Amino acid sequence: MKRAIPYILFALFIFLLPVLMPGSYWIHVLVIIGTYVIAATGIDLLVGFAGQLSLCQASFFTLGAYSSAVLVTRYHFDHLAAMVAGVVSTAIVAYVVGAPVLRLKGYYLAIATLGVGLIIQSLLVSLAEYTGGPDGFRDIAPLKVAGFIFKSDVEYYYLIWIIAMLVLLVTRNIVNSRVGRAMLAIRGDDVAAASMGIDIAKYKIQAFIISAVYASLAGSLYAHSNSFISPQLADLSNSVEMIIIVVLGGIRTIFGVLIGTAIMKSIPELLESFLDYQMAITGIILILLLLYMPKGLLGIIRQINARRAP
Amino acid sequence: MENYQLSLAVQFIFAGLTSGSIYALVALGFNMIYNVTRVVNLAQGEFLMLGAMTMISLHAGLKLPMPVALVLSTIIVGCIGVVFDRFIIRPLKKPTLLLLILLTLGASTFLKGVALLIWGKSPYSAPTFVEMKSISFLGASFSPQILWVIGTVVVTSCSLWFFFEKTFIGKAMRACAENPRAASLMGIDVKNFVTISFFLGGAIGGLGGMMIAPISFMVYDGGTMMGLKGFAAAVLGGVGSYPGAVIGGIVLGLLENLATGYISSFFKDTIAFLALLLILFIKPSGLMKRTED
Repeated sequence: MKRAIPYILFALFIFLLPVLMPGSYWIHVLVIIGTYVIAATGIDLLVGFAGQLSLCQASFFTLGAYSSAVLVTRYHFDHLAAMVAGVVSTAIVAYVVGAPVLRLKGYYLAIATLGVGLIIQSLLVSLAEYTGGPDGFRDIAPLKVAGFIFKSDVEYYYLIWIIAMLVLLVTRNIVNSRVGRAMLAIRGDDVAAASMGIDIAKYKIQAFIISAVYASLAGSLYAHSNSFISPQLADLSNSVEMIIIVVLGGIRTIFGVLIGTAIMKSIPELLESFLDYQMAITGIILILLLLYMPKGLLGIIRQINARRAP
Repeated sequence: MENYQLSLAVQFIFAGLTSGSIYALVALGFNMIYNVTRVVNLAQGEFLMLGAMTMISLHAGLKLPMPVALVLSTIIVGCIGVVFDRFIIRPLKKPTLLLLILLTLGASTFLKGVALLIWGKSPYSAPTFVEMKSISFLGASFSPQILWVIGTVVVTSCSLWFFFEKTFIGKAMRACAENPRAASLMGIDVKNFVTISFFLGGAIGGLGGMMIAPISFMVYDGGTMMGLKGFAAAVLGGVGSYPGAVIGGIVLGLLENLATGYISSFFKDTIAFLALLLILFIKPSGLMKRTED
């Protein structure tokens, strides 16, 4: 019971936040943060626990976003059905791509996933008839579930943060289960894991699919809440950002994703008036973080706590 | 009609050789650093951009003659490579593949950001190195700059191959990557050699950028895609192999231009990676990888 207290306090904090700062622009930023928490949690599972580097998470996110946008706008799908269709098709893509790609290791895996991401992005640009091409897709209808239409930022805020917290809890449970331990073993030493009878191909692809599903779900939510999407969402820099979020918050801590996303998504808001400097500053922050705190913020906090406890 | 088809094909092939040579130069610089330090440098494309931008600034801004600008900016980008190693790679205490990939990507963002501050968002171009009329060959015409590009690749790859395979110092530098500790016990100055390798890696990358500056425009973020394709070329040819880098680069360049020209522009940025994925599934060690690793 005692271990649940921080989680309950955090949930309370999240629920009270819009009440504490009504009408604030930051609610909109928090909607974006919540969306990316969902996608980045998948990366912590895949990269952190299963040890498989993926540079195409943003492409899966974009695939989800476009599935919702195209199915809802052009084919008049029910919004929830479109979201599910997006998740299922992204999972299928992840399975088809993952089966051969996840046999690779190290930088071969990195360049292969990077290639997959680029190919998905180029496909979205080329299929301009359906996707609107490089200009993106405009005027996506606000999310409608069982007659209720999500309009304001506060409504999206509650929806997205409830989903984000569920995703975090589900992921924590996966990690603390037999599956999670198998993934950790693969990260540690895949040959040893295989000789202990762990089906490494199976667990690698499971992690890849789960992480793609999170990304797709987040993408669908983003499409509705933002009402505009473009193929730029699938840029390599966005896939890299998701990994940075995980490393910044603390790799293999799950909840560190919250800290990482909050910081990475606030930087552009805070540096808004220094637009030209944004890129150089983001780069320098990243370099310093990786060099001097590779364990991430939550990683450091946990290390200090562990040292204090006997 | 047949003649037209032929000249079109020749045009595509020469365009392919040109961009292929650039990918080869990126891959050579990438391998150069990898072979001495085992660092996977994804910021190689930014060295390319910095080479082009520095040369254009020295030539057009400071009015230096082209050969002087060329040599000076090669040295400058080489020095940026050294600074890159000294302040970004070397402070890393426990280098893992994940951290190195992220760190070099972070460095790439940083270098792009700095270039944006210096040169802004506008594209720049340089005049051809030697004033010549465009060359005609089988009905196709192309810029004489192509000869410079191809010449640079030939000279660079041959001298790198000779240096690392045949000379004593080259072998000593390779030993740094195999086992840095054992190498330093044998009296090899590992730190100096790492510095030299980053200087050469930066210089080769910069040279690639200068070679294409007269053919295509360069923007602050124009090196990234070429860098990634160069990385793909290095992996395609087998990471660490110099002949592999050249073959990988040329193959990608030709594939890209032929597929874009004859099939669809969809292949412009994707064919390199489609080919790469195919090769990796069939032979995960690349085309030219030595069997001993």
